[in-house]
Amino acid sequence: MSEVKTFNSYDRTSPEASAERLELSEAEVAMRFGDIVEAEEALAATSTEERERREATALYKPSQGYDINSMKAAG
Amino acid sequence: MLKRQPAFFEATFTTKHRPSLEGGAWKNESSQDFFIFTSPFGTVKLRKREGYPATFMRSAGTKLVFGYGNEQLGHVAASQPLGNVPEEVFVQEEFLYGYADSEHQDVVIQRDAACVLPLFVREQDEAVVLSNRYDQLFNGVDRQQVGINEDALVNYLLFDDRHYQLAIGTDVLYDRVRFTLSKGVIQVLYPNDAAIATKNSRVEVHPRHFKDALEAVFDTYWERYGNVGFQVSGGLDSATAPGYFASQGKTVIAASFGLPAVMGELQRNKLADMERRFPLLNNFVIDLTPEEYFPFSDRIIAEHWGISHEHQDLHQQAAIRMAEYFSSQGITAMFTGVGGDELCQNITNDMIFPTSTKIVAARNSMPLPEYVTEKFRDLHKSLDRSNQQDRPVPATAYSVILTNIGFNNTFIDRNVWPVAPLADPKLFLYAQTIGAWHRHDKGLLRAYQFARQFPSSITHPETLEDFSEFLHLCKPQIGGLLDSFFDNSMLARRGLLHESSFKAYYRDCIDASYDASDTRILELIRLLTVEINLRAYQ
Repeated sequence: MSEVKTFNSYDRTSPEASAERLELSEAEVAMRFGDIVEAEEALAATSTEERERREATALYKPSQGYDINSMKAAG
Repeated sequence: MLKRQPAFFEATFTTKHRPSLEGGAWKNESSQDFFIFTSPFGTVKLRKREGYPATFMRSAGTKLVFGYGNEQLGHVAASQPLGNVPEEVFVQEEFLYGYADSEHQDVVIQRDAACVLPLFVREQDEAVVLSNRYDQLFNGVDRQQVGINEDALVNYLLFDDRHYQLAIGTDVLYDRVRFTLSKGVIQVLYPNDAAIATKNSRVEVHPRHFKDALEAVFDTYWERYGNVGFQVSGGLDSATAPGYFASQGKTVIAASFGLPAVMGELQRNKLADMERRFPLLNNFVIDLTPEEYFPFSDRIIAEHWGISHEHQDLHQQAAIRMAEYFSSQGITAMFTGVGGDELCQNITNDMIFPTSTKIVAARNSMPLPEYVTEKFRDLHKSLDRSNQQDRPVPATAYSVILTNIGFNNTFIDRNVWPVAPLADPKLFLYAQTIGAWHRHDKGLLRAYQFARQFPSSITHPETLEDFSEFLHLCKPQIGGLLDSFFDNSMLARRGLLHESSFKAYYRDCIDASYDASDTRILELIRLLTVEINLRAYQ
């Protein structure tokens, strides 16, 4: 596998860096997405503890009704 | 006083089989804006809409066909026993398909999986009425004769469970449901559980295809729905579609509900980040000033304190402004982020079955507030949970249909069709088959946005904004409504609530300082909703 890129391997804090990369090609978007998925797969394969933690955690709390009528933000 | 919008769909049929009615052909009395067909058997009225999903109605003698969306799929679904209809038929496109035969006095109405148009039904006095507007069911009805389902009342107040209706004899036609009337006999038929019920036995798919699957849905919907606008909240889910379409060079017209105060400032920063990153045209923000947009303000403006549905949108006045804005821009469909919570998170059957062992146990052991009476406690103890399996597992995300019921009429009334691309049933089922590992904390959606270089304040926010601060700022108005409606309360007169104890409870909540974790205000709003409705039935 080539270099593993996770979220944190990209500079996502610098506005200047972001501005320079606004013109992303579709191929580049696909590559970035593929890199992240591969990195996550690699992490899942090597860290049983982290994998189990993520699989056991259900952040989704089902709403019986209308989200905008709860505290949650709309949409 | 605001002019009230006519219903999008209304139908009335006689339930008393009369041989004398046989042979009465349908008569076309359509106007510029509505299809209207009448016969001795009944009347069907449907707004004319050209944008997808287009409406249709036509007759041939005593036969009448009506509905919206993909008529062929609707016809296929309605033409075979409900249990035999493949799920694939329900989830491809939107449809509502209706067929009425005035000669044999038969009606079939078949719903799709999305149920974008709310649809309520009520039988009364040898007639059955269907409408997308709940209050229309009670036109001409002696409201004092309307019975109240106290089990539904307790379920709603305690658990915010909206599966059953307060008014006995009314029902909601949900996901894939079929309504039939044959020789005076009404039936509401429910489909089989949808595929999510068996997802655990499916082969897992690889997450690398998620991007393509998501964008294929976006592209299909863009072509299908035509003039699209976007509701953007500043959160992760609703940013996805406008960011994608803007990056494809499409014109993105967006609108937002703008929170006030501290959360409002944080939200505006996120919206500004989106605008800097993507060319969003005319991003229109409706400032939710508490004095103008507090819950129930629409009813004060409309001078209407009659029957409403329990699902009614708390922020309807703001939704009206947004719908009018989109309408003024020529928008005929609005994409929302609804369904994003379910799409990329871990969902188990325990979470989606209201009758699951876990949920039933939690409800049974829930401590009740001190202001409820022994009668209320007895109702809680005796709630019959055995008959709740007539609500099958939906084909789309669990909260979407109830969201549609509360929210969509406001937009549909103004010819703006609300659409939830992230709740696309096929995409939802596909994402649920990706390993749970990847669905932790919406990881795939964040990865997708990150790959497209969405602002970090959207993909990895340091703060999460919600309506808690706004509702806190609305407390003076909500307190005033509570004072007004809980003086000689109907709930107290029914023996369900100790009025003085409740007044102390709500006063304590209204006077409390801001605490984001204090959700009592939502409990008070539910109590107000029920009290207002109980008064309307008297």
